[in-house]
Amino acid sequence: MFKPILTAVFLLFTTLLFAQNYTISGRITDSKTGEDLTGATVLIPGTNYGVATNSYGFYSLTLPKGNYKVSFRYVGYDNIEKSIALNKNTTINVELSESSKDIDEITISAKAEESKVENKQINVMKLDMQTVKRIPVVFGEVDILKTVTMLPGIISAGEGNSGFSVRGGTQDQNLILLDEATVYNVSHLLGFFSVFNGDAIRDLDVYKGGIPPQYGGRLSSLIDIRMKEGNNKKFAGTGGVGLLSSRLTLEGPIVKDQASFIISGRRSYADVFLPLAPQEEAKNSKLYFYDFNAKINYRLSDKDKLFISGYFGRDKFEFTNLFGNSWGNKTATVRWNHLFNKKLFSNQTLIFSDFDYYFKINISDANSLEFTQGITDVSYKSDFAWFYNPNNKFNFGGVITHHTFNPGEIRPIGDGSILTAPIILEKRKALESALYAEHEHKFNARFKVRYGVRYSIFNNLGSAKEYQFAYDSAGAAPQVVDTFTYKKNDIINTYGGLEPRASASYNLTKNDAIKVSYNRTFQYLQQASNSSFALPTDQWIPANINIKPQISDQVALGFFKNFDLGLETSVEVYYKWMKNQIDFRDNAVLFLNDQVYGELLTGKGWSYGSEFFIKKTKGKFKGFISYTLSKSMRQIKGINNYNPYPTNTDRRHNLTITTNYDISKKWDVNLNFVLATGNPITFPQGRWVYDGKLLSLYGPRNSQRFPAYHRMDAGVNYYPTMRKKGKVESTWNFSLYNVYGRKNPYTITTGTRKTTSADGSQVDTGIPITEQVALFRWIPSVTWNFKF
Amino acid sequence: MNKIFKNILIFTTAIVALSSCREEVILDLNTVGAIPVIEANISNDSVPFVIKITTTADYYSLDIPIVNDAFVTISGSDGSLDTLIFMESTKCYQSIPGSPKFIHPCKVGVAYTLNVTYKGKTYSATETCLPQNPIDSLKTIYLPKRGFFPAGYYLYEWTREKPGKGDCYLWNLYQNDTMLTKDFYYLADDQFLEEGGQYLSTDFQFPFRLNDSIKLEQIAISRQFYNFLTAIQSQTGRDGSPFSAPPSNIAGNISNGGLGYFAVRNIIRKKLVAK
Repeated sequence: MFKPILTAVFLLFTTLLFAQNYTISGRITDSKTGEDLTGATVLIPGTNYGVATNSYGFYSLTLPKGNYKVSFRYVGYDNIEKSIALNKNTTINVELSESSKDIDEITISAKAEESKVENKQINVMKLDMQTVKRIPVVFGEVDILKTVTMLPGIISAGEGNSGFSVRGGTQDQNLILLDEATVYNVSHLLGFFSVFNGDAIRDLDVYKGGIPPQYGGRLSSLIDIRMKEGNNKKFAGTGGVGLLSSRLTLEGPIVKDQASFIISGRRSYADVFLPLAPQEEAKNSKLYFYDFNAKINYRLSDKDKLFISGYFGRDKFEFTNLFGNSWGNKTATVRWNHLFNKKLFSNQTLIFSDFDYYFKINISDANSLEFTQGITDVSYKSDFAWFYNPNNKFNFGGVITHHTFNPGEIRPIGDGSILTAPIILEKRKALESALYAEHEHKFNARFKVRYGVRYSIFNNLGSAKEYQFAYDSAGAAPQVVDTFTYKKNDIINTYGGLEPRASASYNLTKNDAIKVSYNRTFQYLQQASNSSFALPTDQWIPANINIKPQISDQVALGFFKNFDLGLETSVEVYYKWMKNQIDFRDNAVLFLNDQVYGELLTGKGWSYGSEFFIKKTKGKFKGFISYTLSKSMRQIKGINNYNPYPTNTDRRHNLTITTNYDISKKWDVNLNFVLATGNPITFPQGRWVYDGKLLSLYGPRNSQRFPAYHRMDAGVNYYPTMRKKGKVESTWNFSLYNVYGRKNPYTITTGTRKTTSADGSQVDTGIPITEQVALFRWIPSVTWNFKF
Repeated sequence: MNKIFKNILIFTTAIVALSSCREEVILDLNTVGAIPVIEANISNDSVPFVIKITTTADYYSLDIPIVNDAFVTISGSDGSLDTLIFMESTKCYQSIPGSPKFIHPCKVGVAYTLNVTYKGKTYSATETCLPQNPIDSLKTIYLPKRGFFPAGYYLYEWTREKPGKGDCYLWNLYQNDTMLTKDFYYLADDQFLEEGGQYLSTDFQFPFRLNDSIKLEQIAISRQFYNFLTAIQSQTGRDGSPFSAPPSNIAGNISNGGLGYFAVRNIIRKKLVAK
């Protein structure tokens, strides 16, 4: 296990032997907005020397003494070249300007760098907001998570759901970070929309494996989302008016060239139409969501930069005044970038994240109570990047997180409640910490490796009451056989382990590369959800004496090939072994149960698949095709007679096609197509009667399928005032979701046929039927976006 | 609480998905052969045992086949033995009063075994008649309209819980001799009570009218039967939406792959008039 570390140390000493090197370092920013440019490249043309900026726009390139011509490049921006005589450490901060050339020319020249096979990472997909915003979506709401599900290896949990599965994992195995803060619930309106406002997002990276050792705590993926920083040159705004919601973003300098802010808000207004509804109940109901993003960044000196960012979002849903529901996330991040010297970059981060769910019932004085549950995290993260020389980079650091889990509290409202005293389940507390180190080593122009290790520890803290359970048989109801009580801050239990991560890349030719990766991940928290769709009521629970941490090992192999026509292709295959996977016994009680651990069953899981991706980046016609052939299985004692069964997100085939055609400078059209194997489902294979009740006889778990899912969406973008200086730019987006009105099943339920009798009452005929609900067919939308 | 949340979900779905459509579909479902289903309840009442045997049917089929050619016996650990005969009139198997080893009513502490031989296979199950504690007190309280619950006389019951953990109860409630608890099982266990001799208080959410005659049956049942009835309750209340838990089969106590349950019930009754 320590071999990689030893190798790292050895390499360090060998490279130290070289003499008389100097470092060029600095930041690359956008000349118009002053925002940091991530992934801009700094290279010495005609040599192998080159580096890319990190997510703070920082680069560091160490070279032997000499005269160089340095080129600074970024997608869609004009290159800048500078000649320097390198005889001391030098700082060069560069502002790149957006290219004024025709859009096609930009794409051809600037994308070339990014498109190089050697710059592509196995397991990683990058999405820029430009692509995301063009894809037609339901109700015209730009949704980054819906776009993520178009990528190979990623499967949507279903229509009307923001949840997704990465390479056969569950939804709670995705680590979704917004400016480093974990977002525990990504759904608005129970999943119809994600909580991320497209206008406030700069870009995102999706890791399906090969997660850098810097990140941990989830098994399957990392979705790293970064908010925009705000324009530090001039005041600007963007916004949009859609069918379902409106958005407004304002940004500008606080101190010119030094400090800037951005604030962005969004609110839905479906509830505005509720008073028009014929039903009295609907008129008095509330149904809306809103979210709010804000960020400030301040350049304290050439060496220090401070960021403060936050997110606040909430869903509110009230049915007359009888029931009230609301839930949402709050996150806050304070970050300090500091340069110790030209080569050592550090990032100190303080993070807060909170999710809570609130429920109120107020049907009478006696029956009035409120319920809350949730999770709160406070983290401190310390990251360092050491740009030793152009061929060796080291990343190291640590993180410590304090989790507080609130499993549920019920309190009476007013004096008349039948509940005389509050019912409070004890909060659970835990500490999750990790240390990591990683070495990126470029042996030569062809061969690169990246390897490292993360050591994570998880402690359950008191005070707490823990139970030991016994079962009549696997899957039977739990019986408490022993109870343990712990005092405040007692360490109840400790788990930990080494998580090695490694990848290697070899360029066969200029246009062909082969890449491999291995990684191990640990997960210490899980969401107690036993349905296909996660709900805000599904609480997060930590590993403890009854439940071990989940562990996953994944290997992946990829082949990347580029063609001259601007075609990029890749094939990746993977296999994943997952230990301590969780499912729930039949008829589990998950809500307000302080013995919820008794309802959990654990076993193993495995998944494998191949992912094919073709992307066309040049010309008027652009787009991508992604196809995934995969399988995802579980085997758990107490479920399905210990026979393996497909997971809820198992899909044999998943095909997505996204195309975009530029008709002119003012018009472009977009077409989307999705085809996937139907969701696995457990249908009855027969029926029986007991005590006059019609009961179902179910076959093996998830042994049948919904009909295949397919859908086509179309969209048109119109840019009437595109690219005119000093004017309000506006864009119109028209789209039609599910063009041919496919009735894709959202649910298929079993029951008996009901008819309406002469007097208007419902009569149960007792005839068994199956009913399907299809959600979205022919949903048109119009969105107006503006920019000033 | 979850039920309320589900209703809210349905409401949300209805509002959000204005274009949604619900329709009947015929699915190509997998099928299995006919499996016998046994519905057997014997008790401490002095009445003949009645047992119903049917089989499973395909999901969409309308008929539930009745089994009339099985060989059915019930034997007790006290040496008693009874053979049950299929009666065309009731479509059930019934014990014949006056048979030599007539064993009912059931006696506390005796283990009873049901054996059903059908198409060359034997299905059996064993349960013991459990002890009961008397109903301590029963009364009605007039309550005004509360939310969904109309005004009326509501029944409250107190009984002293048996010592030890794992005791389970089922209640049947009658209004003027009409059973009210037909579609819903009133069940309780002693999991949340301190051990031994505590008062178990139960309230029944049925509004009675003044002077209604009320009859309450309190039945001591086994933990396994409690789980069986709970599973029925949860399956019949399931809506199959993606927000519901995966469906599960209802496990009874019949051996050899048979479905259903052979339950031995110890029943006590108390009556009162609503006032």
